[in-house]
Amino acid sequence: MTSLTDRYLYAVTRRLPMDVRDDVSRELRTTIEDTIDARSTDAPREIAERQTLIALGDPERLADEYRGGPRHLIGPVVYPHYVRLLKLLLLIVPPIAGVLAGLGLAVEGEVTVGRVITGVGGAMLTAALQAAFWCTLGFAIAERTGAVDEWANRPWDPDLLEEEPGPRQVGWGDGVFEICLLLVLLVLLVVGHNPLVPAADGTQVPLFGPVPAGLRAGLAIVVAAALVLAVWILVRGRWSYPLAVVNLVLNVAFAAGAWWLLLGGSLITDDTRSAIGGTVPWDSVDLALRVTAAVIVVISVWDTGSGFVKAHQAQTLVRND
Amino acid sequence: MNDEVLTGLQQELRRGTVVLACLALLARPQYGYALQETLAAAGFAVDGNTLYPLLRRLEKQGLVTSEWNTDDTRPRKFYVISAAGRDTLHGLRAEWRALDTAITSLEGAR
Repeated sequence: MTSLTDRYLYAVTRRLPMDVRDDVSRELRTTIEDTIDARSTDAPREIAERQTLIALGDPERLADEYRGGPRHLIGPVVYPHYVRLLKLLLLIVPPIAGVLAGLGLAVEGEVTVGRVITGVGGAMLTAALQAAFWCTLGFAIAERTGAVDEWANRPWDPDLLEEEPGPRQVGWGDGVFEICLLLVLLVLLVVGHNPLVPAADGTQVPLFGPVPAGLRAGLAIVVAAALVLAVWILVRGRWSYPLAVVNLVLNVAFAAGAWWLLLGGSLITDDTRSAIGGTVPWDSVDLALRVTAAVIVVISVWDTGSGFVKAHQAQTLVRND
Repeated sequence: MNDEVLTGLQQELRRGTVVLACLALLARPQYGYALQETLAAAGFAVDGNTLYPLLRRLEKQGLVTSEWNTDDTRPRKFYVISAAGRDTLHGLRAEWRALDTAITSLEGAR
């Protein structure tokens, strides 16, 4: 059984570079033994050994001192820049990946809500992880190769100072997220996937009945228009009263269309219901449809109101410029 | 609470001057533990985990040289100040005196 000193020396030196390991071990061993001898005059040897090692402290930190400072992957000088770039990448890259995945699914044709979520979600998650990994790796390499030290020592120039940006009402993160949601909704409406469900007699029947073609096209146009509005407001940065009015019109149209679609009776027709049979709790399904329609109306109302409030706030911002 | 702040700041002060103290003592060859004892006896208490890595850093910077001595049963590494170290000690002593003068005059000019 090795002594405490042996184990301490191992802990200190095992992560030191090969060329100094033996030298440090030899010197430190002698120093520890000298210290124990001095303390042993008024304490038994085991206790003196323990006191000595405690006074020397955590072997990892002592090893850090021998090495010349604690190690880090990305140092304090460049860390804020790393975080900023990472945030920027995570805002831009996953939405783009999600949109591309969504379009790919739409082109493919076989679109279900489940596949949209897993496909788009999976693409966004993968893209986010990739962006984070390569960004971190790049900075770590720059830190290791000393490129960071060179960059840190460059003289600071007041010309680098940026102007303070004007006040934005719509953050880029929120805006992009909303645009992606609208895009997904648009894809779903345009593709109009109709899942096949098992009927009572063993065949497969389409779940949704023939929706009035005008209704689907109309809803798609409204969502497309909402998409354009969202992009416009994101780029512009501020609301205005005319934009709030457009938002109102689109919200009314969407809520009305959704209401008609969900509760008009043509979504899941009586024929389809009898074909599928009585095992499905149709009352609950109807309740769910009504609740969904109500929620859509509530959200539309809230969104319209929010648009007008922001338009009003934008006016005060303009006056304060 | 004030005690902690004071102790911390005193440690900072000592951390800044431990190199000066070491170089001053290393006019004659010394080894790790004995050096720590001598410093403590002179009123300059330094932790081992600060002092021993510091000696190696000074050697890397060329301010001291080291030599292994195997006369005793225990091998000992002796450090002694080098020529470059003497120049540096000179400079540090001058800085120390200048600081002392500056602080004294600051206190005087109230």
